Amino acid sequence: MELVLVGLSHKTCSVEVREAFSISPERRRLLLQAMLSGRLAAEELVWVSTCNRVDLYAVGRKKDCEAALIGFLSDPSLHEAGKAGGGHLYSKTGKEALDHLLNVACGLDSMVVGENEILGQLKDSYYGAKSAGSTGRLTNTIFQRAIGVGKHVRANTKISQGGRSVAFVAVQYAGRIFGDLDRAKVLLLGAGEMAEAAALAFTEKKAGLTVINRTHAKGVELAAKFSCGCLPWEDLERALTAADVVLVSTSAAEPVLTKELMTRVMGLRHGNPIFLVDISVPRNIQPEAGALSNVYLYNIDDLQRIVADNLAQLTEEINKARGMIEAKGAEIWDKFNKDSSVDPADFKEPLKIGTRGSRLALAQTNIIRSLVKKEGVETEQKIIKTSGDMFLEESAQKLIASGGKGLFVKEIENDLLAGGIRMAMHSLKDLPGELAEGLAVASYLKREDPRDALVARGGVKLADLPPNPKIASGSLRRRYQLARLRPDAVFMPLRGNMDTRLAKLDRGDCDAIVVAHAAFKRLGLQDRITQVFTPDEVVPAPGQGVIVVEAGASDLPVLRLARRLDHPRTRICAEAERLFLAELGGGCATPLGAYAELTEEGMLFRVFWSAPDGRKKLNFETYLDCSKLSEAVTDLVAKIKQIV
Amino acid sequence: MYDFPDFAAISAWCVRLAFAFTLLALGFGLFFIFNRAAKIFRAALVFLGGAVLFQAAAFIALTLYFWLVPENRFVTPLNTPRGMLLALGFCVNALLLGLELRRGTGITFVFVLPWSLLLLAVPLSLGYPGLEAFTPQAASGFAAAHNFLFIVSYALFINAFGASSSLLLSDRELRAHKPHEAAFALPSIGDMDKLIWRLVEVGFPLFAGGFFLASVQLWVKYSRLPGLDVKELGALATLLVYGLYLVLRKYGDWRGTKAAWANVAGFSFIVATLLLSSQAPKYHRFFSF
Repeated sequence: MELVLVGLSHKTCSVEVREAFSISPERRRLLLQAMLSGRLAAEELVWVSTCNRVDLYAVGRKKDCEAALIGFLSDPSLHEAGKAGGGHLYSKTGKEALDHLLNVACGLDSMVVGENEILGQLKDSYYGAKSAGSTGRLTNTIFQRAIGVGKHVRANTKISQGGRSVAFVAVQYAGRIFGDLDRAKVLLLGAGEMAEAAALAFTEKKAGLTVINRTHAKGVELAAKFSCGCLPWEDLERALTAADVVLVSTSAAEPVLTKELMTRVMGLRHGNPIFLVDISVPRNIQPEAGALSNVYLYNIDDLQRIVADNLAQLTEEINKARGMIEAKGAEIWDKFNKDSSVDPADFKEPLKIGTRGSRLALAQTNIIRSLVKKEGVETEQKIIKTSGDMFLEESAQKLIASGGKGLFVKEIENDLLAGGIRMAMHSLKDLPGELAEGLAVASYLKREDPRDALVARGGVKLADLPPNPKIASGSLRRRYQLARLRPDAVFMPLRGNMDTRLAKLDRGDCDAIVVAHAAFKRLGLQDRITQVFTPDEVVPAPGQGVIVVEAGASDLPVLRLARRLDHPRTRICAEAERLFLAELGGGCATPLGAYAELTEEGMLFRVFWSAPDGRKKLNFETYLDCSKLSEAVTDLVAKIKQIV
Repeated sequence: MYDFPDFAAISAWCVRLAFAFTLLALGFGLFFIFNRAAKIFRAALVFLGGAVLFQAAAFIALTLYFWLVPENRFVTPLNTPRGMLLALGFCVNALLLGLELRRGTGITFVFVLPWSLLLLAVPLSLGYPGLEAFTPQAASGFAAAHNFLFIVSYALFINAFGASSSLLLSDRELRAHKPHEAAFALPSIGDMDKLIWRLVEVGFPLFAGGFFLASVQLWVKYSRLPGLDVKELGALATLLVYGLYLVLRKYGDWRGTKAAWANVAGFSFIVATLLLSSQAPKYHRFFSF
């Protein structure tokens, strides 16, 4: 898996083209849909869409992912005629992509170098993707670090300081006098490109603008351009009394604003400070006026000198910033690779993976073993008999009375802690809320189909079963939900391994059994399935279909290895379900379904809850913000507790 | 009999800690001018907050010290030099802390805290008085009331002086036409002008109230109006300067740099009053403790 970037910016195309490629809410939905369906060949995705760029950062198989992203952005159906096409796109991978992100974060790739807005835009983009659940370990790391580097470079260099144009400097210095300019009044005296640029810069800061011109018609025309008012020339003194900033650019040969005039004006202004910007040549403001108390006068020479000084300083600062980015980029990349790489020297002996001895557990362990083998590490499995295995044939009540969920896990964990094994395979459903101290969930493998499935005699669906069908299921969750679909069904207990369960069906003890679809697929028994229930029909149990790898919390080589097996989308969904279960406090006896699914609208969380006696039931679904999962789940649980 | 803690020592230690914290706040404030990192500003605020707490503790400990004498019970030491200086220092720092928490300019630290340090340094150098009952003058509620009003208004005026210094520095830098980059850390002239006005607008009535109470006390006790000694003259001059500033701000053109200079003049009168008042004739000598 590699970091892949595909995008376009102000450096590669015009604003009209960038507009056509921007990620609107509808395009965002299509992008997420493409990712979830696998068309982008990406496990992680963050999109950055601003007026100056559209960048897609993904983690996936390099060639496939790159091609898919280019394909998505170039899709002619998403663009007006003539604006699609890959000619504007650039693509980078690996460290190059990271360096690009760091340059963007520090404002070095912006139109105005060092501008601060991009950092906020990057943050919004990252948290937008995180809320949608499309980020993972690599994108979380690089975006969080990039935002930090952006702040660090700005704090330690001067790339974002200093005006780069006369207009910008005028605005900056006006800010030094008046603070926020949104209440400032600007008077534009005359016309001219520079003065108009300065006026525009002020209006962008929400300052109020008024135009005054000797030729009233010209003044009106200019005022129309800025959608502001125009005053007659005779009202100059009154206009100066009201204005905070005066931009002067007339073609007069003599000064328009004299010291005498300004003395009168300052008296009428009660001494309120005023900022005079003389952009005319020859000067239109008498220099002596600048000596008056609370009058600040800057002419074109002053502003251009400041701009030149700032630009000279900028080149130096850019070089300094580049050096910092290079150093930080290398540090981030090396650390990430080190944390994710597998050193065969750490695994001189075959890695022992602990598992239960059931057919399903062994099948699941084989999945892990084949993935680990791809990383160049040999494995061997160790079968450990758990307390749960000993009670397997007993009733669910007896199982619960003996300790519930942890029964299938305890002995394996003990062996992990004792060093008999280095990795443990569990079904997430079997994992208790709190792991033993010193252990951690090292990875969540890609989730198999979490839905429940029906295996019926005669190969029929639920609706086609005979009246009062005997349906075997050990799970109250399944029973109560199926009872909605077949109120006439008679439910029977079902325990034991898969072979035992199928034997019960084949013997004719029941008409159908309900099982986890994932279990049957992993055992190669999917041909026996007659119906797979949608999550709306039967909400799966929390963690259903997920295999987890447990390891010692301080066993770094195994943790690094396990990270490479981790599936980000499964992780985020599984964590949401586990969190929900922990918050709600559901034990084995509580019929509870909870299923988190990433969709193009975000994380859809479905819940089924029932009282153990089935008298009260609740079906609920909502969207959760993945960037604030803990709070979102807590709020959800609080809402449910209120209802029930 | 109860074994009371050594309140004098506690107060002295609190003053030392307050001094140290104020010094650290000033240091971080200065550093912030050149390195405008938010965490440096926050650190300065934390130290200033610590200084305020220690100053409050020092005053409380001083009060408890005096209350060891039964006759002094429930009389504040505001009429003693030490008590007055501690209270003034506390008000100055507390007000600065409040202003910075609200406005976050991060820069008035540099102009106000040196005075705060001075106010703390004086009690550090003074020895602790012996434990005796307050004189009737020291125990006077009237005197305490007028001192309280003066202390709070002085704190406001000192902070206004800090804002004035910032404004004058900004003005100087802007007129240089190529300000030093550290000057960009200074708050805007408009903001400082407004802050000066608000502080004086609140401080002036308090000061005037204190002056009035002092005048009444003078009349009742000595059958004369204020004007005969340095402290009274100093207070009168201070009252006139700030009063004139408020009037001319509203009806004249005393804004921006003129306002700042007026406040500098007012602050100078305050400093002169405090420094020279120990030389005053008997009516306004500081009491023996």
